[in-house]
Amino acid sequence: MSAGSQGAAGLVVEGLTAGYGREDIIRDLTFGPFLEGEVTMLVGPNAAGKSTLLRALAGLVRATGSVRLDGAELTGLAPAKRARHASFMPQDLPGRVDLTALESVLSALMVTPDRSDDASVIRERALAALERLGIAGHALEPLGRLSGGQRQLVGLAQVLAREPRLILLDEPTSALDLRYQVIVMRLLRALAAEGRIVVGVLHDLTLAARWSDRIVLLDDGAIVASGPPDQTFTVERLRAVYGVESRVERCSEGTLQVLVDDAGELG
Amino acid sequence: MATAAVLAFALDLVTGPSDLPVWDVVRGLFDGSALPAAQSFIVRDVRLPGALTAVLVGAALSLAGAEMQTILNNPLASPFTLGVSAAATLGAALAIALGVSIPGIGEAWLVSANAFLFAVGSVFLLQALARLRGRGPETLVLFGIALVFAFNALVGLIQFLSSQQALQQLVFWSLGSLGGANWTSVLLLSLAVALTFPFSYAARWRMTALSMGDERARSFGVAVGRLRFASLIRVSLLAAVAVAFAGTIGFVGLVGPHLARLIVGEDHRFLLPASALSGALVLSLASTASKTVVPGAIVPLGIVTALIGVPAFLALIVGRRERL
Repeated sequence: MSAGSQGAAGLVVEGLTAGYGREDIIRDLTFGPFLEGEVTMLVGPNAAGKSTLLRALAGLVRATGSVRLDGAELTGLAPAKRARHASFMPQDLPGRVDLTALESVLSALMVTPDRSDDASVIRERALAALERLGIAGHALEPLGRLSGGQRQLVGLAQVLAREPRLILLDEPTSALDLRYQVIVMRLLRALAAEGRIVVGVLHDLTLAARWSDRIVLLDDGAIVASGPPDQTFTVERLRAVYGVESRVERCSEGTLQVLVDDAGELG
Repeated sequence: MATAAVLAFALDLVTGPSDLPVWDVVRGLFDGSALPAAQSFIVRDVRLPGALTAVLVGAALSLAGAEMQTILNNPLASPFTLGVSAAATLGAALAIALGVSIPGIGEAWLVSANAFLFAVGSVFLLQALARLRGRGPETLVLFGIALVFAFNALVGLIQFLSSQQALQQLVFWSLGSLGGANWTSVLLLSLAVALTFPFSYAARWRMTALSMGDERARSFGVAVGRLRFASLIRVSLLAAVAVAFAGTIGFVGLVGPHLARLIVGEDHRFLLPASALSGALVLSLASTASKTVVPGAIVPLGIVTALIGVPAFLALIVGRRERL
């Protein structure tokens, strides 16, 4: 994108502090670079600051510090400019909104349209995004008539259609069944391979371990560990952060599995 | 819907206490000398501005209602939710009961001008309050409700202090009426609609995105706070002008957008124009009904609109539970 600008390629974050109101949820985080082609998943217990970090990267919460994408500073950019580089997918798409799947993807494209594109090109792009997620057949159905999982796919199609460099996803598989979880994770890998940076929040550690290049383990607003799944997930860390007794093992196929045996005592 | 609105407008035009035959109305419209002067006056300077005002007020309130429902993310919102009409009533009450006036405005326009200024002023007051605590829809609604109570209390105080005659005048004003319609009010209403609609329509995609939630809209690059503020200004302008010339006419701003949404959905490319049309349709029908329910008399429009609007609205809620 902005080749030639100073600084490293990819996503680099320095001294990022963010929160809601007067309360800071994450404090002084520095990490990166996350490079194109990479899928990174943020994991951690409830209230660890995963969602806040993701929203801070998207520019949706009050934040100070530096978020650079390919050397260009995103912090302080006007929403319309920032949205050209990064797209954020919230967890759920409301079903009570009386829009068809296609209309909802069209609006995602038309709020900040490229002047060079005419209506038919944009429509094609929206349809192609739905097609890629296997829901083009539902393009003209109202969101209210789709299942929660299908709506989540429509939400993903909105992000996909915008073709951002940085894709930010809040629990992209939370409403999906087993098959679509795999379909979506595989799609995220494919999007990364096309030259994008994918960062998401996941609760399912085995899913995260299987499909990510990097895991960022958060606890209480700070980064506990960051690196490849097999180096980040250790029994000791999971005990310290989640308060669980677990095993981290490779299955017969060699895939990393996180197995939780005991939750410890409450409180 | 456009056809239905035109038909309702025509129906509104040919009904009235003076019992003119339909053909006479049509002739009077197209040929000023075809009728005796008195009848020509009724058609051209009473019926036509009255019917046009019904169309414009209905369109303005319904369009404002559609925007309000989107920016507050609440299907029960109307242009009057945040105190615009309460403020307008306060302005009118001050003018009617106490003769409080703005310098340079003639006697005839006093009530309308006061109502308008108070309505617009209430939006800026609301924005100033909301700025203290962020501009989320919840904050706006809470401050808006507080304003409604405050304005209503002040109106009550004025009613308590005012003379019998002023009280009667005030009650009649607040019931809503197209009786005061004339060509100047038609002109000003047209101006308000013509000024705001292009801006509404220009924001159609951003509004559609906003209907899917603040976060999603912002991540697509919509400056949500600015969009809300600009929309509130449009809503207040439309509502203030409508209230100034027709009093507080309930339910058009609530039911109009719902009717439109039933037919075209939430895509604001279609919802905004359809809302304007449905509002025009509803108020033209209400105006016709107000002239025909009690023979020879005109029932205040606000009453008719609410009496027709409430059952229609209940039917909508029952029929579409899952949307609310």
